[in-house]
Amino acid sequence: MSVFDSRRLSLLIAVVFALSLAVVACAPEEAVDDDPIDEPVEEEPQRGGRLVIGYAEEPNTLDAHLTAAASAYFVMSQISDPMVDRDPETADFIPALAEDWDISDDGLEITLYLRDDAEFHSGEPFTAEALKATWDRALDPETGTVHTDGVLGPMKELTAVDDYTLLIEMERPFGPLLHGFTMAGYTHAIDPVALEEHGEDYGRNPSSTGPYRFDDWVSGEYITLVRNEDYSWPPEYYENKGAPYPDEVEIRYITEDAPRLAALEAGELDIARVPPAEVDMFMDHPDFEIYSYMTEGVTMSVWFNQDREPLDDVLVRRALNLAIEKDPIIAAAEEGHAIEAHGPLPPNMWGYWEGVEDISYQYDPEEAGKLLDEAGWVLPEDEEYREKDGETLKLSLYIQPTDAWIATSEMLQAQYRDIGVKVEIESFEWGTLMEYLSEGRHDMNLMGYGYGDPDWLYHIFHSGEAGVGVNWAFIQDPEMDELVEAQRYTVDPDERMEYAAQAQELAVDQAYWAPIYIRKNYIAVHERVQDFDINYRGTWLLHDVWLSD
Amino acid sequence: MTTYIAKRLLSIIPTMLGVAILVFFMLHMTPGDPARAIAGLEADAAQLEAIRESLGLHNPLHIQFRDFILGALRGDMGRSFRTRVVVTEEIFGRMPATIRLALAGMVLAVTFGVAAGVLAAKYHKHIFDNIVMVIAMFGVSMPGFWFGLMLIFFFAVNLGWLPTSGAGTWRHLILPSMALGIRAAAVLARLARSSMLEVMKKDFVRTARGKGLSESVVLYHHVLRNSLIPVVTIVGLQFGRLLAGTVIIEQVFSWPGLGSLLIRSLMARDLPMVQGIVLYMALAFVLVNLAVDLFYSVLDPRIRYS
Amino acid sequence: MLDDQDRISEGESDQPVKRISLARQTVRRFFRNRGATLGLVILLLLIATAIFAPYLAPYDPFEVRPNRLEPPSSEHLLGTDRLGRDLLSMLIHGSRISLQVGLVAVGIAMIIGTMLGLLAGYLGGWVDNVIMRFMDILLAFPGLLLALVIIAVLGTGLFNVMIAIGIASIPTYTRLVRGDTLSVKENEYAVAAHAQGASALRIMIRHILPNVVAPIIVMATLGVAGAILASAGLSFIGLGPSPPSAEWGAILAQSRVYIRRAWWLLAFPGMAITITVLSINMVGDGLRDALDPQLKE
Repeated sequence: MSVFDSRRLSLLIAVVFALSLAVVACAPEEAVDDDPIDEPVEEEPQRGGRLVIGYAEEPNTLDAHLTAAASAYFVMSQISDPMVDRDPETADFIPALAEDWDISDDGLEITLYLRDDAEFHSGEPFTAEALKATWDRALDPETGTVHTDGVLGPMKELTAVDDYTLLIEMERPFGPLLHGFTMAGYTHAIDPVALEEHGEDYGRNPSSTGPYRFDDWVSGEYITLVRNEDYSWPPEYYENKGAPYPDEVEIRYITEDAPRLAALEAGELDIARVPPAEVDMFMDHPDFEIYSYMTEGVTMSVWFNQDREPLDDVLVRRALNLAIEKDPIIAAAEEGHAIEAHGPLPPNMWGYWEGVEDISYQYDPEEAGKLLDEAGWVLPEDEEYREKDGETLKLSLYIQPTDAWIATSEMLQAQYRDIGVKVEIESFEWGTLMEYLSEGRHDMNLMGYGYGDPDWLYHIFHSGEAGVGVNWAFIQDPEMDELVEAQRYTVDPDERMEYAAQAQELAVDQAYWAPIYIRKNYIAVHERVQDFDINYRGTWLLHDVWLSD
Repeated sequence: MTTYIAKRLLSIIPTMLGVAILVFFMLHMTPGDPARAIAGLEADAAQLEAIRESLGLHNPLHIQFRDFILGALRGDMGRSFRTRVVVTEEIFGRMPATIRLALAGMVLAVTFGVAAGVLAAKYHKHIFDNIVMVIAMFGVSMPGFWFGLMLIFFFAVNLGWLPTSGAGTWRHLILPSMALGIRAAAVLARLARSSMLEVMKKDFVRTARGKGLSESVVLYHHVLRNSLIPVVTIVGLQFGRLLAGTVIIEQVFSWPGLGSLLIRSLMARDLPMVQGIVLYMALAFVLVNLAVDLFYSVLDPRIRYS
Repeated sequence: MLDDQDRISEGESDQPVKRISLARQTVRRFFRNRGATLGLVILLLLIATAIFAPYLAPYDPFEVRPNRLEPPSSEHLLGTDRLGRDLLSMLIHGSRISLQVGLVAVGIAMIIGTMLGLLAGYLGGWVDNVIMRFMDILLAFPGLLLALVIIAVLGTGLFNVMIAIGIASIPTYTRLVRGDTLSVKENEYAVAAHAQGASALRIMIRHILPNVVAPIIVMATLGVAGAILASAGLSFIGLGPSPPSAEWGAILAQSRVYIRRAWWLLAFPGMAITITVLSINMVGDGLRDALDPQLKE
């Protein structure tokens, strides 16, 4: 049996999807609908009340090491703190629970200097020892965690030098490490007392250091969090230096759009995501302010399985890129609330190479036809589809049955039919889909991701990830391997950026896959919610939030 | 009577055992290795093996099955692959919402269905009868989930009268239970009517009328009681359908019950959870049918059980 | 939802139907029933629609056009969907799928169920016991639940949905046929045939089967209606065919997000399902009443 393991995939992809919601970037031009009817005059924040957030997906567990669900990430972020944060304006790394850090020149030793005044919800002090215990747990194969490869990287040994100094020794330098430390939902310190007390049920009774304490979880209905009165270590960019203002936060799970929006309109929810089909209706709603932000990832793309004919032929892949008209797809799948994607990374991600905009494939069905002719796939008289050596040009397209994927696949089928390529769509639920993709049963598949770091290129393009990771295009290119490894195992940001740029250029040139669009997300915030904001990458900034009557 | 009840209760055991066997083996035939589904990112072959071991997947199927049955008898269905929560805890946590919904649907169905059927029979061959029967025919033919969507459209989206999600108050129950119960109401209305009409033709009814008893006494005392017997037998079956119907209706209304959990677990191939929910739903169904049979014997004293 | 044993139970007949003499009477009784006649007319129209779908549909049902989400107009009688496809054309093509699902699912259930019922009823003894205990187990799954588990095993897709619904409906036929077989078995011609040395198979096919055909037809008719409803429900929760599909439940599933913006996308597919199921139910009811005159008041 191969080492394929769907957990790894689900993990990654989930990480990946998680981020698409939790860590997202603001569309600069569209930023925030800065047109509140009554610009609040500097009012004194008032304490109390319950902030109700409507969410579609319920977490599977709140054990940080066992879940990669976006919904879990969101809740865990509220009850924990990151070690390192990013400045909301500049994206620079800034202190959080780690007041400072050192990285050795060879990138093999990282020292975190932790603040000495933080406490877990149990009252236990937050120390280097506790953080070591948490990450040791993550690194322990028994735990079966999902985050070591993508988030914590190749850590070898953790040492608590003293109460507030943690030394991390790495197997290899790991470029994305600091970024991993910003992801509170995954890399926060777990409360040792709670872990000890709840054991296997910790995932339903999580505890950490954050502004809210976990209170209750009624399966299928809601999770409630209560204010951590002792909290005094929020990120420095907040006005509020102490405990949060609302008494409670309730995250209510309503899977279906229609009931969730009805609840929002009825005033039962304070904050909820608005699906693309409803954005226009909420834009003019007097009770809500609409915030929009861009997903930090490519939400929709087609991947070509290069293990199979004829997709091993770069001419065919280029033709399939040229045949895609992105605007109508964006209209059908996202009601127009998305921008065209040009390369494997989104423009709002650090490490994005702008050059892809000049070399990306522009819709040109004629040129696509020529390339296919050149590749030997010609259109016989009176036939709808191209043939070569008596074989019809027929490709399978694997998807999961969600609205946007269905619409995109149907549009692609129509667009590819125009250049004489027959597409057969096959849909599977997520688990099965991942399994089949890893086995390489497909010709093409749709995929979307959200990720905070160009290290994503490693996961999708490295030959070692084919069949075991998310290299579902089965790309086996030594030149690409070299580039993505270089960006991964280099600590110097400028060098990483350069390698990542070269990898992006190669990916577009070789038409490894066809990027389609990057979604804009919209959330409606009720007017009684004051001082809500979203940072440059779309993270909800909740710590200054208070509720007016 | 007591021996009859005991006998019937005992007969549940082989049936439920059969259900357990069937579900277990069917689900373990599904493609995909559950160990992979929960293995770690860095899992190698040895780790996968360790996880199989810990899940008991390592063992031959018949040993796994024995463990599953022994566990189930103790009320231990293992932990969910997806959420790692104890399966029975999760099921008991969600069950009240589903039972509430199914009962509300059933109450609606019985009240309106039987009343409509009885009145239709009373006004047989009047326009009222026709109207009721046409509505019932539509009720039987309409997809419940579509009716639910229409209810959301009219009452919640356009009029904003009723909540469409969650399970907080009785108001939350109205729309989902209507969507769930409409079909059962229609079936019961049709059955109650035809049963009434049949009984009305019987000799003892003619005799009662002949004795000069008032029409309403005849109708409600003699006819109704006797016509309800076939209706009661159908209630059990309808309850089973309602229970299964919650699977789809809960999706439409985001109702936090077992049905929506079942679909979620099915999609994630969370075998222990699917097994657990299916077994509990089947058990509930079998028990309700038993209760109906017993009630039936109370209603119809002519039936004697030995 | 899967079957209609409750309603059929009203029409179960104990006596063997004397076919030849009754055939004409049955037809006459059927057509005297206005509801049944209306149902049959609608059903025949639907069947014609399904057969001639490519000629009747004003547009290619899967042709994507820029005019998305257009309300009903003279150009698009039922409006367009989010890909600009003509809803009427999709519904017309969808009739093929729904009727096909109904027929195949019921075919599976009817053939297997009838065979098992004949075997159980005629052979009796341990065969009967094994078959009926197994049926008890299948019947312990309420409604759609068994079909859901079967789909979990087989995977999603239209064909698997048909199989799942078919298997889940087997017990109703088995029970019905077994009951009738038991009563027919004792009839003089079956006994006579047996005395003449006819094989069990021959007796079952020549003498018993014809006598249980009438109730099976009624049950199968109503079963088609149930199967169409069930498959729409399964498609609605995402277990149905891969896109693009004109399956009515699948269209509804994808239209949910447009509940405020495009009512036609929700209203018409639901009506299509309702009308189809309604017409089949009316025919089924009519058949039952016509075949079993005692019930007709």
